Amino acid sequence: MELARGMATQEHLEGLVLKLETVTPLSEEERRLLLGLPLSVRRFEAYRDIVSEGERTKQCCLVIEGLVCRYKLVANGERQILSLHIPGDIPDLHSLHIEEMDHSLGTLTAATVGFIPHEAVRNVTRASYRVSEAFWREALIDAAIFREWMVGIGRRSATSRIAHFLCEFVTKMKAIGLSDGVTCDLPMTQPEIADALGLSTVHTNKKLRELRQAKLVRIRANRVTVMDWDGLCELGEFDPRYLHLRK
Amino acid sequence: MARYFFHTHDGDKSDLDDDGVDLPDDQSAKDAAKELLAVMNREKLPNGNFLALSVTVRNSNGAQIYVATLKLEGS
Repeated sequence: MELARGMATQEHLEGLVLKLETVTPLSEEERRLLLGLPLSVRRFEAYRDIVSEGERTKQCCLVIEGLVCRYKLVANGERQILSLHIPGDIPDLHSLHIEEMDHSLGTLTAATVGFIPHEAVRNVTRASYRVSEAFWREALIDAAIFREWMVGIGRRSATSRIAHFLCEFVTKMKAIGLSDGVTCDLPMTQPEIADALGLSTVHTNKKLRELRQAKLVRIRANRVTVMDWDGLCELGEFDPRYLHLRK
Repeated sequence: MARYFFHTHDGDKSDLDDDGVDLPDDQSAKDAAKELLAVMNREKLPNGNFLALSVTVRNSNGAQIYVATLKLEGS
């Protein structure tokens, strides 16, 4: 069940500002506009749909806390996780312009999500061309991440795919201050990692063990620790330029 | 759900599964073993014309419930 939760709206929106600023520097005025967005905050349990495929939405979802994914189910019941979203992300920013969801958005952990009416987002983008550009850039980087995942699922070996996925996740978490670049929470089960990478659970389990035995990475109790960053990047052919982070 | 362990051998090296994977039943574990053989085959195939791959599945009591072998001879 979703629970209403009242907290200072501005505090929740700071995550959005922080995330946008990892790519685009913002002025005081631009920050003020973003922090003034109306937000209704809801708490979701793990494994709940926030927005389901086919729904028409009038609001964007800001991830405030927790891990959220976009996914599609295929006829045999299998799931492909399309992308992962961490605090500060607006995973359905595209709904501003294409209202009918062609995939679902759901929680992988308990999550706090803020809903921002489309009209309010439009007003902010009309008021500031630079905020509009920052959102546009978010959508483009989102597409760049999809391209990397496509290359991985289509062409990289399973081991390389997992290594790339771990490098990307730690890099994104570090950018918003939730990782020191070595270790961070990774609240995903092996079946979930498998669904993100187009692998079977048994195969994922085997390859994660190989990465551990090669002393590249350790995953324990929903936490990933990179033991050899350069080695993991090399194996995953990970070059963070596609994330377009400022630092 | 029950935990199953998938020990593999790919002609060069053995991999002992000390983590295990939770699956609904023995049949799912057998299917998963066959699927694993298929992907091991894809991963090893470019390296030669002779290949013998095997997967042994054990349950949480250590009992062997299934063995699958895949052999390739190219000429």
